[in-house]
Amino acid sequence: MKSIFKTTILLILISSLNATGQNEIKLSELPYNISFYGDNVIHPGLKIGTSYIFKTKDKTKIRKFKGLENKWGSKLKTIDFSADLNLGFYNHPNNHLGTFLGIGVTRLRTKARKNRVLGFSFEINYLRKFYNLPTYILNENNEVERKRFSGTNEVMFVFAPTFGKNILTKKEFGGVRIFAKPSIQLISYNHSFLPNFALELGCTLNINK
Amino acid sequence: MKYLSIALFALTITLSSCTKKATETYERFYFRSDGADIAVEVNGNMASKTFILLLHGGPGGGGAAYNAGWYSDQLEEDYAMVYMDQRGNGASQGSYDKQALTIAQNSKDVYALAKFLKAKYGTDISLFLAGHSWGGLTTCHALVETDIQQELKGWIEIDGAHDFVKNDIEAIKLFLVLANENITANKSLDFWNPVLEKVSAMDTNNITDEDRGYLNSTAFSAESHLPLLSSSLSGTSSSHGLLTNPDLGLAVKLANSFVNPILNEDSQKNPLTSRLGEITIPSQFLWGKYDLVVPPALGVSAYNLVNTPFKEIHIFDGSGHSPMNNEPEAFVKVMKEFIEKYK
Repeated sequence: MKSIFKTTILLILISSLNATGQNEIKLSELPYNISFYGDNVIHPGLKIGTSYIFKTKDKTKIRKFKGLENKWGSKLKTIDFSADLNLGFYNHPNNHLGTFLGIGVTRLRTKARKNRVLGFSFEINYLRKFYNLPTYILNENNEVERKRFSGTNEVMFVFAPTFGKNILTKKEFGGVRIFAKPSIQLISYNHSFLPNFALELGCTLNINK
Repeated sequence: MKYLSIALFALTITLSSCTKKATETYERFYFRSDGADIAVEVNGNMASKTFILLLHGGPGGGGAAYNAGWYSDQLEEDYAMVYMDQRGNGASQGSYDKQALTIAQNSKDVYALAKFLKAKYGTDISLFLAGHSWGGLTTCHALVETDIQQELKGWIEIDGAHDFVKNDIEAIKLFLVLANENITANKSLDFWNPVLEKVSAMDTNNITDEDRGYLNSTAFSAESHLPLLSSSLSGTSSSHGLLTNPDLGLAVKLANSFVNPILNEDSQKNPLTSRLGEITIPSQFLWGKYDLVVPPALGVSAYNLVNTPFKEIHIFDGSGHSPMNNEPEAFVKVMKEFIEKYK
């Protein structure tokens, strides 16, 4: 039952990749996300990915004080909804190397004047843990046998608030967003799920293209 | 270029936190047993051909915590210490059902590991099985429920909780004795008066989970109010740093707390005092006189009941639940004498 569930998750991930192709999204216009990924903060790794903004809303609000309205103009907030595709890994020495592939949905609100970004993401990932120690079994003939590429397969659900700032927005190459994402996770473990925590510190490149 | 630098920086950090390499005196690996991947650390003099398989306490503990301190350095000089993380504990992993989280399964794992150690390091190795605290229960269960006695030269129980039911009753008795002694001697009255009041009200025929929780947590805090020895000897073999500690993951910690109640409940259902007569290999019982977590009465009872003439008991007068930390010199001396005698 558990393996069927995991296979379904994998199929969803793969089908989402195909769907991206069918919608004629110009791959060259998609931004790149790259971040330091710290499992439990201290076990370092790397996460890369991309996002496709499928819905954008602009909200304009006149400031209460006329002086400020004249000086800075109306408050402008942009809310982006994006579909994300992520790939990453981290290393927990003497335990395992974790690799993950996942999809997610992100809501980001950007305040135009200061370019501050606040939002959150929901992700679902397939997590493969490769033990970074040898794994042995005792076979039927009472001989020691080493198992290659041993590890476990898990599903990882993520809720991640995002705090960021758009910088270099006037550059020709499209700008950069720096962000911090404390990642609150739920990882399958035997017959149950366990909470976990990771921290992402990174940037999104080409945010305006 | 900047971003490439960031990526390279992140990769460098990742790769610099490497797994400890295997040497002639150190090895760390997983051993797969019935769906569980048991984390095992072998540290010490493997050339001696004498191996001590040490099981940690808990439930919810781990072997890495025992590979630290002066006593482990000394034992590792002469023997190979095998620190095993029981399933669901420490850095052990794997994929198995809730039904496989039992003392019976844990003792099967221990037996399987004992056979594995002989297959890996040679059938001529002398293997001893040792268990501290809750690990004492698993070792005892393995001895009476599997054929592991055929693989062993001896059993060493260190403040081992081989009978949770008896343990609770003896803890209440010892609490009453020590509380009265300290109150009479006018020592730590703020601590002992409420303890005496609470423990006196407990019914030994109906000890509740709340009582058990109180007894266990108070037993540890009582150690600072007892005349325990504090060793100035420090160890040099603390084997892992902050970033490389195999147990340090939040998920690992939570996994341990998640299995703890399941294994505790099963431990409660497996009192083994009545089966100690089935143990026929040389046995050594090492206990702290002031151990309120697992009182020395359990050690005395086990010493009297095991069915072997080759048995000894040592009660350490200045120790609590962990004599290897309170009186490491005396602890190592008697343990080495026992091993040398029966290896």
